[in-house]
Amino acid sequence: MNSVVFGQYYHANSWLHRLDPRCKLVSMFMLMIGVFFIRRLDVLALLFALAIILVISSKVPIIKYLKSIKMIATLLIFTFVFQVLFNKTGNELYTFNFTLTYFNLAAGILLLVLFFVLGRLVKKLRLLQFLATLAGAFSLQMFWVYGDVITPYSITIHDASLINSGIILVRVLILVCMSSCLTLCTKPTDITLGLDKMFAPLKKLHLDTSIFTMMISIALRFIPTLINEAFRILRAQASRGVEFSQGGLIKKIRQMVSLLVPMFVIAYKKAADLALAMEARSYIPGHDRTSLYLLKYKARDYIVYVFSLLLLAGMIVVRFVL
Amino acid sequence: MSVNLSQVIFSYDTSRKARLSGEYYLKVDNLNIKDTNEFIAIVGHTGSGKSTLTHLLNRLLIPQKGKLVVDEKEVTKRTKLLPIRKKVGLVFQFPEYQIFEDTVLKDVSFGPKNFKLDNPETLAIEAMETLGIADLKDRNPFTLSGGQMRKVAIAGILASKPDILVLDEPTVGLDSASKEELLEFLKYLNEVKHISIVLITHDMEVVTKYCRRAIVLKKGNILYDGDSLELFRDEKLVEDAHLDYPHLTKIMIELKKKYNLDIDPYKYDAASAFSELEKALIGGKHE
Ligand SMILES: Nc1ncnc2c1ncn2[C@@H]1O[C@H](COP(=O)(O)OP(=O)(O)OP(=O)(O)O)[C@@H](O)[C@H]1O
Ligand SMILES: [Mg+2]
Repeated sequence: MNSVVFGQYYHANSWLHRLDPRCKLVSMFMLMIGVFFIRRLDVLALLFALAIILVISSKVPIIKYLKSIKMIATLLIFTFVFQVLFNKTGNELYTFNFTLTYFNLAAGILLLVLFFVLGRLVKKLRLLQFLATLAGAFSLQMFWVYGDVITPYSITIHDASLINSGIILVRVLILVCMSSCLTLCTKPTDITLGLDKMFAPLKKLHLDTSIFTMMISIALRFIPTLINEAFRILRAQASRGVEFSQGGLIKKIRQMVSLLVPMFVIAYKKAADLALAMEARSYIPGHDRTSLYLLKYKARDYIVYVFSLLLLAGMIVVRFVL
Repeated sequence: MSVNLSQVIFSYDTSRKARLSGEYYLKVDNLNIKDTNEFIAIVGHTGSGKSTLTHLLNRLLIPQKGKLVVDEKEVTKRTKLLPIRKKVGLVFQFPEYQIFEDTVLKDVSFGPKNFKLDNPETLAIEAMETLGIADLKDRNPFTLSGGQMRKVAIAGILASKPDILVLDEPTVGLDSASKEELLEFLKYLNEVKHISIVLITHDMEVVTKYCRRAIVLKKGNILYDGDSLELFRDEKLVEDAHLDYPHLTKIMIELKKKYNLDIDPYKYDAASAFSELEKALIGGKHE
């Protein structure tokens, strides 16, 4: 029933879901490092294909992955475009000739205005709308030279810079796919449990990580509750006449105070209650505890370990030997 | 004047899938609440949508379908919400969690200031006086007891002079003396100041003793909207909505069934129940 679920975990029944969280963490880490070694587009394309296979075999709807990609899509597209346009290394590949005329300028401005007006009506796919506007404005300057010329100019694409931008693009896509794989197929609590177990040996060095993982898991547990509380307080203050999203800076600050102080009070109270409740049940920080969920490696975990090790080794070979 | 909900459908889930499946958290065909002299109980099982209903009354939540009409004017996107928020004062469950100023007086006058009322401090002190907490005005609210804080929070709403005062389970966590005191105070507001009171409660004793009208909710549907005493005569409804009977009524119904007495079990105060029983027991031979 709880609509605010922290983390992206999507419940399904795939081999990725069943994999030991430690195995997923370590393999993911190894592959991510490996991806940074690779500077060849063809090998990266192969790895990307592998990432796609992971994505498909996770039985999580593709739309979930697309959502994570969408979050960084703007950044990705702009770095790509700027790299291609302004990084002039390698041989010339193609030259676009543009002619800016008064007519084209006016048409371009008109398109931009259209873009903003459209934004009022259609709130979705703004990025796509923006790209279409840009494409429209520039293709006008390419193909429809009409009226008094202001200035002709050209943009040259170089092959090496195109490949470099491609490498960055594919690399980031692979990283996003793989990290989404991890977060979509592993419960946040399992991730902390995995971390807890992985770092447990550090205890011998008097570095107690169990306290940290306990803190993380408590924080994860309370984030959705606190978000719900925040909305509740928002409404409670709204019924006392606070108009969030309106007023000047001073007003805004007061609105924030009316939200943050109760939030802090609630969080503090919950934390104090929880601490007492934990103490009442004899939780002593740093002491040995048994686990409710024992993590046990299965055959598939070893297979994945071996496979990712081989892959990492392969990537290092590609980078330094070939 | 009044607040009116008609043909309203509300859902917390705004995704396309939910919209297509037609699921809803609350459906109100028609609900009218006058802004004077009403004393309404909203009852229903946990999760039946009581709080949601009250949030719809002052536009804290916006329904996907249907309309809210306040004082004969339909509320639209362009309507200013502040006057509606002022008209329908909403006291949340555990309202003490919305307190944030460093003195009680400041916190109580926070609402009137937002609503741009004249003399917010005077209004605040007035509200605190009616609740009997005027002497706390310079205290730090975070040092008060739970019951005192609750009163401060209620004063905070009352100070903005709402026409309809909506309270979400206001007596939860109060001892029985403070509970009685608060309810008597609401009765006073209703009878003397003619403020309409809407009360979410799980306590059927409160429904029969204080409220005149009852709204019964089940799974987001209004099953009953009418006289709060007649409500319990509908056995099927009481069972359907998982309501309790008031203790006295329960005893009377049991007695009637077990001994086949010729009585009307729906008497809600001790005296009338007693005379009803007495009448049946000595068969009218009573002088
Ligand atoms: N912010 C929210 N987001 C999503 N669902 C919600 C939210 N608030 C309430 N609900 C759901 O709406 C339904 C009605 O909730 P509501 O709070 O109105 O019930 P209620 O009758 O007030 O219950 P209670 O007696 O426990 O206070 C419940 O199923 C609840 O889970
Ligand atoms: Mg409620």
